[in-house]
Amino acid sequence: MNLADLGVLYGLAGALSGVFVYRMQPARGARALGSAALSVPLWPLWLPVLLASSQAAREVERSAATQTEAALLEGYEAVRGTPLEPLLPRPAVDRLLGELRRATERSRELSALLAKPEFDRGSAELRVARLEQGAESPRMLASARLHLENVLRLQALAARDLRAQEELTELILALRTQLVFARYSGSSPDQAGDIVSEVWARVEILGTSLDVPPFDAELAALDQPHATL
Amino acid sequence: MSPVLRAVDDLLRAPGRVAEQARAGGDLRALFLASLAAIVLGAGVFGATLATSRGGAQVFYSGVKLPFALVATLLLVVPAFHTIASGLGRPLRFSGLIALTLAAAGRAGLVLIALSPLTWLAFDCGLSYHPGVLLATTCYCLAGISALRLVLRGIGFDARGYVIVGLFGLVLLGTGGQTAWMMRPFLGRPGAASVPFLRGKSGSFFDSIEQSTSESLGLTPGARDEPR
Repeated sequence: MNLADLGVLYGLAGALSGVFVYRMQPARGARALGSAALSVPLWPLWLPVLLASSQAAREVERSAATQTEAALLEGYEAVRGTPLEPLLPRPAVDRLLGELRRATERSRELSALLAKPEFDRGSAELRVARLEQGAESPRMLASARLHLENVLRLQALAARDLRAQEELTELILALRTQLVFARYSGSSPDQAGDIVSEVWARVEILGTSLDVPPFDAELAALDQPHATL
Repeated sequence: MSPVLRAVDDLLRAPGRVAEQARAGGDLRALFLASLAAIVLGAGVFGATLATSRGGAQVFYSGVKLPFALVATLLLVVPAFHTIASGLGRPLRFSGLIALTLAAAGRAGLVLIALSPLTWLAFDCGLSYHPGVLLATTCYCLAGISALRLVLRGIGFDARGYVIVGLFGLVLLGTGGQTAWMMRPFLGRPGAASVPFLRGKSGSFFDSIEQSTSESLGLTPGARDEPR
């Protein structure tokens, strides 16, 4: 095998890498094209960097909840062994962590569910409109409407959960700084106590939806729409 | 400021941050692109500057060939660097090591840009071929030292780090030397009638070193006017 053979093999690998890189980009466009073009001559260097960067981006998404958990633990560490500890005792921290993890898991499940084509709102609306225009049976139309209603309810539920999670995250971040501040300044724990109360209230809101089995009724209706009619 | 421009700024002013970023991993695309741009621009400008002693098409040829030789060398040596570092107990992520090596070469490219006006002035003042080669070698050494410091920041300023970087330097010297040898001439002789893009195959980089050593020691009669 001489230099020319190696060059051909290298070029082939580069072309395959270019196609792979173009297809793995989340959006098509000049950026995706540039990335693919760069990987043709430089695939041994560019491909590992690109793959590692994509993995890092996914990890950042996953660690959003972890960041909140870290803030909570940091807040607890700030008050541990001080007169402020009753504000945020360890059992309370453990319960908060449990609720946060449940909420994150549920939100992830819900997002994955709503990303499926059969849970697409547009398709469901189109189907109802088509059945309304056609001469289909009333039972089919009723099933399609029930499906659409359930998709809308799921979307609303996902939005509410997300909002509650975001608010809870902000509160926990504020609680951490408040506890750290209270510890180092020796100030009154009243304000931190207020935030703790609010955190618990938010957790209760999350808990009300978490205590309900996840969409049993809705999912049953979606799986077997005729059975509910 | 865009992430790529910020990475260029870090290459110039905060090599420690660059090394830390490469070690930490994560999203290294901006650092990669900034380093690549610095290599292509720096080596291109310096290559073209070297060829001003010959002028004409040689300026374009050298401006293209020097970045090409540098990038080709990096393509060949980075896997070896990863193996050496892992084998000697400093395992970095492969992507991080790529970013570190490219960043070091990019910093060297920026140093070459900084040295280009001085080199140009020297050739413009009538610097001849052999002193020109020496000047170019000195510039490469200065750029290399700057790159080496960045690599050491990433690998670690201790005995193990020095051994790893020393071994990598040997691989780099051999591979880079041979790649550049295949891509010569970069300076070109002022008196040459034509300017070839590449010279015909005549031995290897190591043959040339052996021949030069023999000639220097007076073991064989010399032919010291070979353009490099």
